Amino acid sequence: MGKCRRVKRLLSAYLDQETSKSDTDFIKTHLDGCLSCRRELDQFYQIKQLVLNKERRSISADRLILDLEEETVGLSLPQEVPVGSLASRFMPVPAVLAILLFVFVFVLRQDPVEYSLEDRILSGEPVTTETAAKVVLGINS
Amino acid sequence: MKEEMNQDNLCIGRFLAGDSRAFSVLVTKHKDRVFNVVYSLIGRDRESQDIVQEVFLKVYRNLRFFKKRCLFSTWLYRITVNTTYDFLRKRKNLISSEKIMDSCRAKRPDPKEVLLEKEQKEILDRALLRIPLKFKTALVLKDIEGLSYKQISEVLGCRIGTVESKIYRARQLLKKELLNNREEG
Repeated sequence: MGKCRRVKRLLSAYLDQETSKSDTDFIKTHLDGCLSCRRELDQFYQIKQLVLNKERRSISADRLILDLEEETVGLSLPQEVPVGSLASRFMPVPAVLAILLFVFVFVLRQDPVEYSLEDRILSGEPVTTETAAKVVLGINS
Repeated sequence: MKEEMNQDNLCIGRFLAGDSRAFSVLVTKHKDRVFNVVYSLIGRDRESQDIVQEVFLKVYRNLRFFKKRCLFSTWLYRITVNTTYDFLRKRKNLISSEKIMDSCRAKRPDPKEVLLEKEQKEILDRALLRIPLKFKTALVLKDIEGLSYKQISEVLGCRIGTVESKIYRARQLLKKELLNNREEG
């Protein structure tokens, strides 16, 4: 039963000759002794034939080309993209990065602010008793 | 296949060098396969023609980006399938088969025409329309266009195992649809 399940799952690919050599051998051997799987294969075969024989349709080349010419009338003829053009397209990227770096380093960068002792105490920074006393007494050092 | 690839690459080269007639050669050569894929997927004649035109417009615009890492036809099928999916998505029109069935029935009250409706071709067309697009696409590329599982996996951007499952599922569903149709008939 387990073999049938495996074979039935492979029958579609088997029909398309897309199974591996070992699977093909396995299926062939199994089909020799299994009527149910042979029936399933036959049904798949009929369905495949039905789709294979489906009517192929055709459209007028002249009409299509004419329509395409109308649509592409304003477009310039595409040129092959040379490999180097990609490099030149992305060339500005490092230049822009360099400018941004310059702006950041020399313009936006500011000197660190020096806070007074009072500010440091108010911000909760741990200070020694001596320093605190100096602040209270108004001694600058 | 190698000869076909060379012919296509030759045309592409000529086109990119400025020979617009080479594009017409490509269109003439591939138009029917594009049309058959689109028609098999959506089942509507006029709209299929519009999609074919859209496909070749995309090819025209993007041919310079085609890197020849795969066959031109594989690239073309990829554009075809994607354009068809886009079209259906835009129209929110993912083949409401019931509606198509109803319209077919409504159009043909005449018993003679009912007989015509039973013709194998139409039955197959309608059964195909009932199959979900994701399974049907793989089946169409296999049985209508004769692509290998590997080529289909390249077109759909999935693994070969997935292609195998999709085709298996499509055939199972098709079998079910055809059997249902026989019972209804």
